[in-house]
Amino acid sequence: MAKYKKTGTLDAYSTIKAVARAAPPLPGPAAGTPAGPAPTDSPPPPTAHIARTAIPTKQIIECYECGYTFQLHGRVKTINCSKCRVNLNLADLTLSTTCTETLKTVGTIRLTAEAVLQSGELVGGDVVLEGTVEGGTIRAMRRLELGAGAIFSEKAIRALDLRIAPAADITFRQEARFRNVEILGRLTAPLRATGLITIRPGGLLAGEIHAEHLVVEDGGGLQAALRISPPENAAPRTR
Amino acid sequence: MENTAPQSVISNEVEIIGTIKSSGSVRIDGKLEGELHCTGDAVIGKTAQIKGNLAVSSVSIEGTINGNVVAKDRIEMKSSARVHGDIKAKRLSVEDGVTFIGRSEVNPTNSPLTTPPVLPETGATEAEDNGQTAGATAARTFARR
Repeated sequence: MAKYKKTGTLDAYSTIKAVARAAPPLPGPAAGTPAGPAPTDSPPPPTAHIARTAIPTKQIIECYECGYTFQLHGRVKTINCSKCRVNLNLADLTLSTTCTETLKTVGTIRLTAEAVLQSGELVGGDVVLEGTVEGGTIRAMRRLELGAGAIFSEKAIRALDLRIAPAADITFRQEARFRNVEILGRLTAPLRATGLITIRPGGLLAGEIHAEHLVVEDGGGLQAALRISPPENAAPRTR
Repeated sequence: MENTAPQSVISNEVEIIGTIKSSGSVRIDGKLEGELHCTGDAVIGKTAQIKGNLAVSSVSIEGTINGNVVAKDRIEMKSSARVHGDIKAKRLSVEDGVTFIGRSEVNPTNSPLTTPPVLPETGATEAEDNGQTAGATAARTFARR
């Protein structure tokens, strides 16, 4: 350990090396002999055991400028888009005050119940909205979650998938189009989903529903006029 | 909907025109043109084709129904189910892959809706333009372009 005295930080490699040096050698069988338990009366001495190795996290990054999707290994705070070279922010943001600026991230943006979006644009991979949108826009590249205290301004929100959080009561006045919709609270809407609508126990969906796939779990509520038909049974579209 | 009680079975080579009334469980694999009144559980098999209304305690649907289904307790739609009609029950379970065209009235918690289920297709209100409505239980307006 003497040669590591000057080291200010301890990285994973040096940690493993140190553990290996500190641990006594494992009592292994001699070369050429079959492996088997050694006939000893005392229990084997405790050995160093590394229970878990760090595997680089893998995530799919979608550029919020050009829409290009690529894969990222490991954890970083920013990365350049492979296509348009824009520097992408990967951090998660939590807003709990008034916001008037434009924020973009590939991570998750959470607007707490105290947050008020007055102007600007929020672009996030996932957006959790529990606050108020008075102005500006919100764009979720993946999923938008609407919480219990969410209040929206019209035309302000775009998202691919929608999730209604428990205890949320959301009403859409005009037709809402999403891919996948997951409902744990209450949603009243003329809803058109191209993917899967899932109503979890305690969720309630009301309105006019057009979807290709619907799953209602036991305990989910459904008070709606429905047209659920898989693609092969769907009526031909007319323009 | 596993049920070990004896049940009446309409097998897949049987076709019935008329009303079936049963105080026990019924399994239908054939064709029925008429109504089914069943105080017990009903199973509509994959090969079943029903043209008529069903009034049952609980029903598991795997086949085709052209008619309304009213269950006192539970309606279970398997992935192969095809239902053209309205359903009403206390509890509902729907698997992915079903075809269902009709109205549904299932509210396990019996919580009242704040707004009518079917909303007007057009016509933005003033509340929509403001983006929010007053009141603690105000309905949130949300629109996507």
